[in-house]
Amino acid sequence: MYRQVCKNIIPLLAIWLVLFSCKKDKPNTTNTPLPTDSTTRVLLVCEGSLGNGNATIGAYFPVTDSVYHHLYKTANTTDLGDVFQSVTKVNSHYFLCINNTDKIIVIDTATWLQKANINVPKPRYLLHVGNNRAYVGSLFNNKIFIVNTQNYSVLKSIEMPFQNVEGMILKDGFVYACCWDTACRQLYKIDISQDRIIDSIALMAAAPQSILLDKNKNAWIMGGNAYKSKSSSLHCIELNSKKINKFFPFAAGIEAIKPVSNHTADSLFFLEVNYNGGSSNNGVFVMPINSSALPTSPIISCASFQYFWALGIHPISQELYVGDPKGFVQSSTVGIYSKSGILRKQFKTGVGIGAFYFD
Amino acid sequence: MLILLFTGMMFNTSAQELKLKEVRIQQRKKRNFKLQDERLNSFNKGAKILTIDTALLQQYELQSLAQLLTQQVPVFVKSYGINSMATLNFRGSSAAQSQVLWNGIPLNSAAAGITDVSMLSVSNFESINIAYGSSAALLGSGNISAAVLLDNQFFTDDTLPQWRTKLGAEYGSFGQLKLNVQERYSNKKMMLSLKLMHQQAENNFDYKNVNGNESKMQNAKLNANSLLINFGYKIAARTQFKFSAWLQNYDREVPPALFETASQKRQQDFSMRFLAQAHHLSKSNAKWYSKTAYTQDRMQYQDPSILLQTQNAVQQLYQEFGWKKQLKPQHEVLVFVPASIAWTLATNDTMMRYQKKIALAAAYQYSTFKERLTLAASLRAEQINTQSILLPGGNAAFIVHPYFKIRANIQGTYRAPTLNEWYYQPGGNPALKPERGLATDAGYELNLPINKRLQLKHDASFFNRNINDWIIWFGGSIWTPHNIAKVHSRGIETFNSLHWQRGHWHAHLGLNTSFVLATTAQSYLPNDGSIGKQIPYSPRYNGQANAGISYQQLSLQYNHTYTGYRFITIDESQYLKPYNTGNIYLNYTAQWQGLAYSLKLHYNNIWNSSYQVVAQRPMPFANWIVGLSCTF
Repeated sequence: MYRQVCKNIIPLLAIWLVLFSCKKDKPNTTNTPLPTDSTTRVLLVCEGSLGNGNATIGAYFPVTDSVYHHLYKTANTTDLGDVFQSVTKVNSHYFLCINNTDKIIVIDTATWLQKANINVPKPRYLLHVGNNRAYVGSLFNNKIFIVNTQNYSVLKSIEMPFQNVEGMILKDGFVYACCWDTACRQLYKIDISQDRIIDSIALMAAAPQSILLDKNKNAWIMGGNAYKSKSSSLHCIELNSKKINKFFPFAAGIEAIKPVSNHTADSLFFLEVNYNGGSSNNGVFVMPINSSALPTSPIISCASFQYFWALGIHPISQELYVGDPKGFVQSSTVGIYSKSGILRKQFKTGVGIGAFYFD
Repeated sequence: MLILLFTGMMFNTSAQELKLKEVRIQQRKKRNFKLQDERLNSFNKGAKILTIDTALLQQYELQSLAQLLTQQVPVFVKSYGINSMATLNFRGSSAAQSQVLWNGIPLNSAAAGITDVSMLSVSNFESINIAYGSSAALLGSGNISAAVLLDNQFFTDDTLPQWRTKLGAEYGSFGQLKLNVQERYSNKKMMLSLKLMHQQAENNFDYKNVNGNESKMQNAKLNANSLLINFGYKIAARTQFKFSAWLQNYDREVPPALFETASQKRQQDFSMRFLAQAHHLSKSNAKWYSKTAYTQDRMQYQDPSILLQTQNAVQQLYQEFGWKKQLKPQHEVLVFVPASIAWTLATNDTMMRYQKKIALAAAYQYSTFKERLTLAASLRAEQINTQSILLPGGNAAFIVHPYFKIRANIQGTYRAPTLNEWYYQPGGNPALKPERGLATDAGYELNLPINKRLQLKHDASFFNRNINDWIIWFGGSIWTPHNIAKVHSRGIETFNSLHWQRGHWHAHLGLNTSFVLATTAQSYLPNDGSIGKQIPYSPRYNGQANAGISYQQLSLQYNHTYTGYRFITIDESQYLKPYNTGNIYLNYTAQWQGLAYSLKLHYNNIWNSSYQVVAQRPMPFANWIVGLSCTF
């Protein structure tokens, strides 16, 4: 009897084991080509998700309305690294600051092929200061590294009073640098001919992070760190006289970041980010430079469990480019909006869209 | 497969003993669902319980629980690389949805909600079982997908006083060194055992870097020590007292991920666990029990490159009282009251944080048709801080034929947010709600003796589970947990083995398979791309094949594991490729001059696979361990 049972059961079991798995496992993969388009481009800086090493660079070509992904990997057959923070063009090369991989990758703007690697700890932003030299700020480090943009070496570094040099601008032969440290309440002035701090400007709030110039050549400094209980703030400073023209403290708990200006440099656009899943104080805000108060409502608002992480203004079309990282756990969405905040187009890009670079 | 090799008279007793001729007994171990956990013993017969048999425990005694489970159990063990954390994913669950219980008390950290199974050494336990599916009404928060039951022995059948000493040493690739001392004293009233372990490793293995070149792993040293004491005392014929103390220290350098040029990270874990149990069987055959436990887990993590130094210490007091009674031959009831309080003061936090749980739970079992049909129902009312939860559950098992059994289980589930999920700074979210859902599973078991030498076993389980308010951590540099999704998990697991025996020869073939679809059904995220997509790090396909042959004291085993695609992102846009590993185990035991020796050789990843379980964390190529132990 057993043999009879076995004769029947064993083949049935074998068939069952083979057939039970019926879902295709292999994901669909598409090879993304490199662009041949020579029109203006918008580089898509995708940070990736921290610790996963999945940063990518993409490009959007507005004229032909085409999007390309994973350009570095396609050209170089290797991953970019972890946390792609910023991109800066110097001559015919892009300098990519890969924060958590401790390097700046230099690629050719036409072929996307890697030209060099510059080892810099936790690089954030690069500022070209001329004479084949660039300043690079570093997270968790109280130094500005000076790199040679011709032979890709680190020349030397400038000791800063605080760590986390983030935003920098070059004006009249001086670099103005923000140390995004909760103990820092100064803006530092560096003489690029001597590579040393020669002056500082006292601020009314701590943790300056971003700096940009308006049409009057006044500096706007945005800072704060909500997680470390430092409220966001916005200063307008006349650099030559060191006079603070305006100071706007944000309400406690509001995280204001990533300011950009329009092409006439008479309005600031910035993001407010709500990490707690709420929709208040969350979206794209605009503020004319002559305004006497902070904006209270966004021109583009976020839904619950959403916040934007990238913001740019196209220098020609004046359209707003807004990046939604969607939790940094999936492909991001880029929305292109009119100046008044009307959605015109959306497309997907890599994980953790963090910035746009208009070239 | 379930072969026990009892080498009789292994213990060196006093000089006056009679010199008996050595007897070697080989027998197939009977299927035995008697678990130490009173809650699961009678009231969970409709659930799939997988017992790691003694032969496998011996085979893996040089290794961690992570390796045992990876190679022998349909589960995805998410290993962050050598010298790093490994967590469990049963049936498409998150790491915090599987429980690990040590002698019935939860080992999952109240802070992180997870258990790092890479830090649990197989040799510390005398019994390992896996209760598949949810038994949340019996086991409480976090028991959504499965529970791993790690148990110790507190009594022996010895009637005369016996001393037993076991010394073990092993050495392997990458400077792996492990030393074990186990001492046990037992008599008919008590047993005292002590297990001491030291482990160290360089872990400087070769791996392929991002450019495809071979590099040597840096910053991966391990230094670990463990002391486990178990004491059992029969106060009276019907009253037992048990006590356990377990101290463990792991000091691990955390190796760089592939995207990093170097790492200076270091993690130190220290845990201290004390457990006291009392059992009393009254004259009316009611069983009373009490468990009191104190656990402390300290973790220190340093990364000088980013000026990071965090300390996290969580302490927990656990108390459970229970009463179990066979009302009539067919009826059994259990009432128990578990309560716990966990507290932590995390780095950057300003105050002590607490999580208090107290529950009243009851279970009832009814058996009929000459005990062929067993029905059980359970209900748990639990208060977690200010939230109240009611959890019903039920299961059934029916022996259709002596060779064929069917079973089914249904259970309301929940998982309370952990202390870290609520309060971790930065990122904790005090507004998080518990994950809640319903888990069902059913299956059958075929145990067929084909002839007197050949036996076939086949077991299949089908499961279906929906979880609402699934907690996902997301964010850029600061991660925050949110209740954002409804996840639907379903799938099939099979366990198959063919065992052959003739004289001193034994052979077996085994195949375990797992097919898991765990997809996001709903999401609160706007324009979420995860709907219908497999959740990250939950392979759809996973399986192990085993083949072994043994002759007298010599055995040779081959294990092959397959792990399918794992997605890194919730929209399936990024993934890791499948991998296969092959592992060989050679074991030889011998008696010489009154001592029992065991020589083991493990050769892992014999096909030299280059693979990553978790993205950017390379695993070692082929490596070996040789171990020698001596028992007297």
